[in-house]
Amino acid sequence: MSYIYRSYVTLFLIIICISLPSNVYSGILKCKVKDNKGNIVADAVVSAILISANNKTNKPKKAIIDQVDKEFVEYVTAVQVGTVVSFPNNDKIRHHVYSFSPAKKFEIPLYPPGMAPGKPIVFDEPGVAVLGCNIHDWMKAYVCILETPYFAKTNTKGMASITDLPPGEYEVHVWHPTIKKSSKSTKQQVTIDKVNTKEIEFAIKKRRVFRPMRAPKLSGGTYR
Amino acid sequence: MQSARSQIAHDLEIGSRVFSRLIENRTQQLSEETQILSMDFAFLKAFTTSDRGTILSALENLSNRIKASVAMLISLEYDVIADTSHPDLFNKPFEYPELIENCEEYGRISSIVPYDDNYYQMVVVPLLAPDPIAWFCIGFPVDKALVNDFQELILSHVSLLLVHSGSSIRTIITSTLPSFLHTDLFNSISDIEWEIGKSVPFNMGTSEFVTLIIPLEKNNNFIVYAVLQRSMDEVLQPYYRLRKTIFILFISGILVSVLATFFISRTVTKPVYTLVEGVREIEKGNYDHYVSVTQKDEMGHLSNAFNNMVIGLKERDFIKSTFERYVSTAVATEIIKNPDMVQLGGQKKTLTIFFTDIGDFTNLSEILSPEEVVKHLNYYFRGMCAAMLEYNGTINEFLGDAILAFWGAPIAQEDHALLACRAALRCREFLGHLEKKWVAEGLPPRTYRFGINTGEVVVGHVGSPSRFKYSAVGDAVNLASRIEGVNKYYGTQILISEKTYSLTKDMFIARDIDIIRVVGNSKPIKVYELVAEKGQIDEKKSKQLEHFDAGVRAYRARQWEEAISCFMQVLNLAPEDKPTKVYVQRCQEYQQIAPAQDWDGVYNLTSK
Repeated sequence: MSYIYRSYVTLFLIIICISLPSNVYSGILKCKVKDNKGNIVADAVVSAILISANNKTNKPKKAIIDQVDKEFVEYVTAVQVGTVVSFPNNDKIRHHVYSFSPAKKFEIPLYPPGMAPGKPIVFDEPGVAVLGCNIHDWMKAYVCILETPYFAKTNTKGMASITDLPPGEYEVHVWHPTIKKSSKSTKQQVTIDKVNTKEIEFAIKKRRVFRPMRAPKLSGGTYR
Repeated sequence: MQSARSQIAHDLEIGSRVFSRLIENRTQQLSEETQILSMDFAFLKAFTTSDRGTILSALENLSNRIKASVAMLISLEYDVIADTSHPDLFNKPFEYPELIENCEEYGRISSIVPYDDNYYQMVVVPLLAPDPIAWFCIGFPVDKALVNDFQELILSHVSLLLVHSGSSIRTIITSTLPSFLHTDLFNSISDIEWEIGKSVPFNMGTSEFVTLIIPLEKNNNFIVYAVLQRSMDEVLQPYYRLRKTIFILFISGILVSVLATFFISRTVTKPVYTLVEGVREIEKGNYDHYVSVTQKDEMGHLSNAFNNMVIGLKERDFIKSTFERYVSTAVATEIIKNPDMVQLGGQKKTLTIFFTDIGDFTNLSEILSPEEVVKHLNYYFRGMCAAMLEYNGTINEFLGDAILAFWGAPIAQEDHALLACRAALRCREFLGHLEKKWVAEGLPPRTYRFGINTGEVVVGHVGSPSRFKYSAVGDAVNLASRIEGVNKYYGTQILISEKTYSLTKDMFIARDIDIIRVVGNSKPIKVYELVAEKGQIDEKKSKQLEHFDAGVRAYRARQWEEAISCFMQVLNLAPEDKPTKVYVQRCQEYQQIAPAQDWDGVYNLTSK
């Protein structure tokens, strides 16, 4: 075969590959999350639940929540139920990761830099798990465990895009660590079709969140 | 009082600032302790076991670490999960959900609340894992111990007052005041209008308390105030002490005055009165009254001086009374001035004795009535005494119509002879006037005789102690008396002895009358007639004397003719001169019968 032929074939395959998913006819949902005062909210998890069908796709997924410079990376991680999360320690010091949340109670006692010993943690219950480090009061992370596979996290601009949505009626939820329980606008109903990109906005009520000041800048033991 | 009030108010204001800061610090400290306590991983683990027993025991353990009285765990739904003060209590709603709401708002909260009939300072913090999974509430008692602590620092009474917002019910949480004042405090708070931050007086118990009320904390249900008070009594204590001291001083001052008065009256007034009494006695003339004051101080000195004075007065009085009659005032004064010079006992002294007598006085008593006689006599005496006293003589005695006087005692008079002679001449002068007067009255004439002698005598008090007299005793006295009598024979007026003459011849003119021998005395004595003071006679008299003198000399030289011749010349000038006549007669006698060979010219007087 001449290389010209080969390049044409490759190109063809690429185009097919690219266009293949688009043959599934998936929708896109763009969400913007703001708070009551109009400020953009980053790290908000937007999830879309297909009302009509049961859409649990059991793809074992993996996630990583890192520990760098005595902070969890990311602050908010959205995973689907059943995701296995590992906690590498990329600091020079040890950490002690724990969670007392009903969604997942676990504890990885003080371990040195590197991979956490023992088995990685499977987050098999929907809900929110709040993670902390026993020896660093300010280290906090949230794991938002969702049943639906359709979810996204807002970026620094407060925008999240959920793609590959099969057309249908969806209930779109928003969650943020600061969200007040009583907040009414945590869900919206949306219809997704193949062609259009739906854009919705959430305005959430924020509440105060407790987070100790990072040491050694600690002063007076106040919360931020 | 007002300045004390404002001072207290100022102190309270400062105290309230200190107090507020203390409360703040305490709250902060407790809150921080609680917060730190809450970050206990082991406790979190115990909590998440959901085993109540474990949770409660772990809670107790935790609470013990900071010695809290009460510790509670409250769920996110505001239900009590565990309570160390009520171990069996759970799932009951927390009494103070607003506390937790505030805690959510501010991160941690502290408040004084009533709980279980007591009052606690409750601190609520979230139990973080790392987000709040429960509320941790710790209670520290707000009781008398706490306010007593504050009281020690700010030195004011501290009471904590809780006022319910809705019902205005007031409760005294605790107080440093004694329990019997609590009711009064309560009543004052209820009845008196007070403003926050401004001092007001509360009358509690028996004293006034300056009161300052400041708010401590406020929530929807109630307000907690701190009531800072200072008792005026306590602050005025030093003033009261001072007042008491002053009062005591005043009382003791009075006491001291009373005692002093008493003391003075005894040591001063009484002696003074004694002295006054003494003076009164002296006034009466009682010189035997002695003042007895036995004190050794000035009063004693005064009384001693007084007694000495009395003795002096007595002496003077004695002297005066003794001598006044005898001496002139001048002499008496002299004696008084120098009582020592008067020796009352017998003393040997050389005196000039002066005798004087009235001849033919008895005739008067036949002519005149007794009263008249005395009158005349007194007139005579008065004049004579005046003359004698003029020359400071001592009139010793009146013997009928005779006078005895002397010079040279009781005080020393160096010129006693001179004075006596002068006195005699003065008397003669007086007598001259007297005779004129009496003769003019139709009385017969009298003769007056003077005899003066100078010699040693013993002079002093003669007699017995009860009756004595100041007298001169001695031959010289007798002689003076004799000489006075001799005047009768020679017809002279004043005769003086040789001794007297020798002392006075420079000042006086005297005629050598004779040398005689008196009865009872073998010694011949010369007698002179006192004529006058020198320079007081005229030419004629002088001549007379000259001739007389010559005659006497011739007589003594047995030159009878010559003598007679001289005497005749005298008679020519003074035909009445009696001595001359006597001499003439005697010469004529001796012409006839010559005297013996051993004739010494002395004439023997045969009669007194």
